[in-house]
Amino acid sequence: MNKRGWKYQKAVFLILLLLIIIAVFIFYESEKTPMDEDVEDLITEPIGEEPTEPEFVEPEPYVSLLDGLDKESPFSSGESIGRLKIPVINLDMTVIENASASNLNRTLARMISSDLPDGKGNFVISGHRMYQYNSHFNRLDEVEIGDEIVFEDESYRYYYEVESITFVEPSEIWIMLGNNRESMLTLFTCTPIARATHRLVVFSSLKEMISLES
Amino acid sequence: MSKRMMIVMTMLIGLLAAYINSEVISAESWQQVLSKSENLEGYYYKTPYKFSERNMGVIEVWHQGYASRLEMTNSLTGETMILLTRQTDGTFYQIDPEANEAIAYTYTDIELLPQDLDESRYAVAGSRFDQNFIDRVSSVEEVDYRNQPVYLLENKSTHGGQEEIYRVWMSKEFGLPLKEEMQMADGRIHRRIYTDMKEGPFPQELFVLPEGLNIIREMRFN
Repeated sequence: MNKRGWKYQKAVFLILLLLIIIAVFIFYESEKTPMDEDVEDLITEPIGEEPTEPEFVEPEPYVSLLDGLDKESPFSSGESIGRLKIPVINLDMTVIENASASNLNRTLARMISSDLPDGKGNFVISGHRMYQYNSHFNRLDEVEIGDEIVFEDESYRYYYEVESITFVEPSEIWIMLGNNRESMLTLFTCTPIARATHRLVVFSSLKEMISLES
Repeated sequence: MSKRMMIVMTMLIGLLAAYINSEVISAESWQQVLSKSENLEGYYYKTPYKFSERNMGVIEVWHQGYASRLEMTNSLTGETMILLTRQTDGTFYQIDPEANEAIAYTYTDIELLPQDLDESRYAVAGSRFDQNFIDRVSSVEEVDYRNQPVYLLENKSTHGGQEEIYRVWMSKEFGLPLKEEMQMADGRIHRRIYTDMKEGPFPQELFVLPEGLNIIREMRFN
């Protein structure tokens, strides 16, 4: 290589080196985030007021799902506790306390393992499917999601809306387990109608409660 | 045919015969499958539940001998309720495990189990797929459901011109339902599904009352 060519190569190398240095500097500057700047500020600026410790907030005590569900029933077995109305199937019947075999032969009855109709828990009413059209829960299978169910006692009228329908086997007692997080009315009867191998279950939620006392 | 060929053929025929034999042995009738769950060393399954838009989730069930445990977990709140049955004394317990509180319900007219069962034994209801059920089955089909061989059984019930149909997809492996349908007279169908089925045995601790459990109410009814 001659002298001129060597000098030329040297110049190209220096220019390239310079370009690389400039590129690195630009890249570093562009990569700097506002966070980096904040950190730099924090490092360079004098420390101001001491940060205050957050106030201690005592956690809410846990309320048991069973809380308030341990009330004794004021009714005796067979005593009328109110009326159940399901307009869509033209049902309007008295509900009595305790769904024993003899009480269920008379009318609809409250499962005493369930809650009272006072706006808390799961109030469960059982009834025979009956072969006679429109008798007891004979037409409960016709009820659909969204239908209105009304329960009325001496003091209040409770409006429920059907939210879910299912079927269970007779030993599945979870259908009558409520908790105080909500207010429900559960109705159940035998299904299929002439076989009764299962229970048809209608779950409804309380929508409104109106006082009847003037 | 060469000697080597003969040996290979014999082996293939032997394998085929063994396969056919195992198929014949495992081909249980649907009646046999229905009683299969009674011989399991306990079983477990999951099934969804829905009370309302705010209370829906999953039910987990463990059955073992005379013991039964049901856990309902609300998918929206994460809260769990446990139900332990103990029919030796006619009592079942509704438990809030977080508060360690329970309500005890006692059936007073329940037919108690033999007195030789000790206190740790729990009881569950007998199989619902009994002879009474078998006598009423109106149609049987062998199908696959979720890649599992099942018997699809149908049970029709008619009254006053109305027909209600119960269908069950019965697992050949466990003798338990994987799916059930109840078709009402107006054609609407209610469904239940059962998943994650497992055979026991399970730890006995699942079936005993938690230590220090506070019984806030005892109810007796018939």
